[in-house]
Amino acid sequence: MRALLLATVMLGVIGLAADRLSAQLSPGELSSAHAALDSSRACLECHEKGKGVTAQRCLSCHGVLGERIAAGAGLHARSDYQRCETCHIEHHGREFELIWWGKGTESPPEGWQMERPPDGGQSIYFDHDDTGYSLLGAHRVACRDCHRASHIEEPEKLIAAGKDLDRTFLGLATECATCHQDPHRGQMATRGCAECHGQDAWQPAAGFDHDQTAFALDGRHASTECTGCHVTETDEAGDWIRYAGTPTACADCHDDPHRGRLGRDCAACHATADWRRVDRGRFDHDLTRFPLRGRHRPLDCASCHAAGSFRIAGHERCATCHADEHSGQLRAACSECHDVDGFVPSGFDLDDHAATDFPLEAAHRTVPCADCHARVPTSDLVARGVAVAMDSAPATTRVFRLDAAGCVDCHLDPHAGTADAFLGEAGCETCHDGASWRVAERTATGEIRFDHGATGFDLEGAHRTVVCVECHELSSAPVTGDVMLSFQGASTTCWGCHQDPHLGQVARPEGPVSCRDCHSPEGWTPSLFDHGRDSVFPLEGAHARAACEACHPTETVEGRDVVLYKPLPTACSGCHRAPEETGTASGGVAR
Amino acid sequence: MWNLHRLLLVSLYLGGLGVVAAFAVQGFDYYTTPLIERPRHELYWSFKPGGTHGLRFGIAGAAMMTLMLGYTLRKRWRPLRRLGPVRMWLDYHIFLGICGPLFILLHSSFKVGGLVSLSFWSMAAVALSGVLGRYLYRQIPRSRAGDELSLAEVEAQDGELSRQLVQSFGLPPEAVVELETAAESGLDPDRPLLWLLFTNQIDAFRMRRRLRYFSRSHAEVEPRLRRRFELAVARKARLRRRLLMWSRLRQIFHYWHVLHKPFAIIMYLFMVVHIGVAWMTGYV
Repeated sequence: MRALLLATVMLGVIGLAADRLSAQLSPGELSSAHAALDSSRACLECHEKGKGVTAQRCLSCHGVLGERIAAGAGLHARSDYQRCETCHIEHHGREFELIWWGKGTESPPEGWQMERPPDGGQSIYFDHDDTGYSLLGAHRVACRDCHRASHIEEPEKLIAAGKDLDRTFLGLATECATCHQDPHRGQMATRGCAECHGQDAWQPAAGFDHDQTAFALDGRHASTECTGCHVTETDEAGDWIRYAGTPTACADCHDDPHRGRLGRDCAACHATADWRRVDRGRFDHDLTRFPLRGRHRPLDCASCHAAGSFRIAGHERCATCHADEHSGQLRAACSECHDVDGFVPSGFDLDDHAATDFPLEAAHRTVPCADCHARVPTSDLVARGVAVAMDSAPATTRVFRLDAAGCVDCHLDPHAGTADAFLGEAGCETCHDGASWRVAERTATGEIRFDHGATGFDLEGAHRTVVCVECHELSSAPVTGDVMLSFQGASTTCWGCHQDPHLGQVARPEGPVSCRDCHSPEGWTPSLFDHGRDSVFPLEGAHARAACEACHPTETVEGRDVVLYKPLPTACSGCHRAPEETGTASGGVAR
Repeated sequence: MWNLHRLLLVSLYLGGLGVVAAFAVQGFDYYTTPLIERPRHELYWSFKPGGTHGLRFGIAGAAMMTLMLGYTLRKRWRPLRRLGPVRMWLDYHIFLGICGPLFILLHSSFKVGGLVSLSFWSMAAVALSGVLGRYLYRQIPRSRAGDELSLAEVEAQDGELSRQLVQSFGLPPEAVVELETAAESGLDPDRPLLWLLFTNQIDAFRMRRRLRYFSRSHAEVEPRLRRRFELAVARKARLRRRLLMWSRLRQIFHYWHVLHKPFAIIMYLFMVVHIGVAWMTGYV
């Protein structure tokens, strides 16, 4: 009875749990991924008798993963990832996640690790490096940002293997293009993305060195935006920048301001640092329409190309760059007088001057231009009626357009008008020529051409050869100090000009003796004096043979040697001594 | 022998329960972690059922549960009688019945619900019924060897105790009747089993007070005999209560096996299956 009851209870208990008996063999429900295997008859689908869960059993279903392991690719090919069950823990229910992301999410925080069981006493953590692809920089994102169906290379293969593309982590290649669209549209196909781009950010492309291309960047090119040279194109996927095939010639990007005149080798003159900085050592300005010569050669470019423009309209005209030094007085082209070797000296020579209204002759040929062409305030030119562009004219200008060409227009009249009454139509040239002012022009005989007789004092004899200043007084102009030679007030008497060498010995009581009584303008000597006629002591006998000095001694009076004429004794004893006085037989002349 | 047995038993309890307690403390954080999070716990690979510790707990528990069968064998296989009395074997049986489930509890990492509940709760039922059985066992008068006494033997013991109280301690016969009435007071053998056991235990406390009062009210007992008198009074009262419930307890105890054994069989059955599956699936 008791045994029957015992059996009944036992069977009852077992019966009550009959529907769950098979479950008693399992330590827990399988995860949803393996739900199809959740049967007591399916234990050995995963477990191997006496060995537990083996990778072979797992890989019998996970064939795709098995292929990667066989190929030595990916995380699971590593020797320390061979035990499936140590990471993918099972029998913890349908909701249990087979893959542990540290915090139970596929978007773990920074520094996440996947815990693995102790193995040999040492903890092992999942490290994405172990997959063969290290997550660096911007790649530390949520898993599904990369592991998504759209990034899987051969989805049909995984689908055929029963994989859920939204859950699997398989199927991604490590090439950038697996996840990223190629923004270069295959232009860089021969290079890996990583050669230029780092993983922190797509830009800047730290690994890219433009110098390694066929067009090294330097100067201003180095700071130019990429799109400054590389054009942006658009296709159905959006905008992209064309790099390959970008032309490298300057003119491909830059307009040629020289319109091809200087050739296509811009670098021969220009550096990339600055277009305006021209390597003058290399630039041949002679290739331009304005070859540099003379003083133009050493100039800085900016002296002419100040505005940065190398196109100078009217460059053939000097006035384009230079102010008109002559303020519009001259109509001739600058080059007629000046050249590029310097504004001065001017090429305007005497021959050129001869073509003017005032040919230079004689001394005028040696006079510096400035002596006649004085520098005056330019405004004075306006007052003279010269059309001057005052905004570009210099402050002062030499006067080239002279109103008249008379001597006194330039020269001060040293005669202060005292000669005007005696000048003919020739004016100053009546007496002077251009050779020298100081020497009045004379005739072929040496006479002055001026009719001195018109002054009331005809020049006779030696007076004809005497220079004017011998008779006319020189003075200085009151203000200018110029030498003045006035003809007014000149004496017409002999003693007005000449000294009396006789110190008045020959003067008469009724008045001065006319010098002409003894002397003529032809010369002081020979004197016209006749000792028999003009003196009281005619010379006779030995007196006629005696030397003048014998009777007219020379004495010094007031420091001057004077021949003594008067008074002299006329008696013999006045001159002669008795023999006893002289000790001679004939006596002698007293001294 | 009994002293050695008690010393060994105390040592086993201290050792067994100490080990269980130590590992329970060590794995407390793991055991209190929600089941779905446990695989991520740092102690998972030690304290999970198949872990380094967990597997040892299972082996220890299974070994203890297996050794428990020694008691059953002792009761049924005569040659084992030489290896000590049944009562001593029962003590070890109870020890193993306490520590074994505790190790199995650690082995299960307290994952007692769900799919594997049947095997666990079978073990729990066996253990708890063992506690009940132990209680019932104690309520049935037994010889010193632990053999169950017959009703005549019990009644003879009761008569002997009444005679001792009268002759040895000078207690009047009516006082013995009074003691028997006090001992049986409040005890109704016809009550439902669980209620009977509960009220019996409650009445036991009340009876202890009544017996103390009874002992003190009989000052005629010489002081030197008072301690022995009190023991005799208590023994007489306990025997009277057991005599009153004897037929009911004996009947219940015999049917208790119907509760204890099926679960034990189920438990062993699942244990064997469990071990077999563990071996087959490569865990052992």
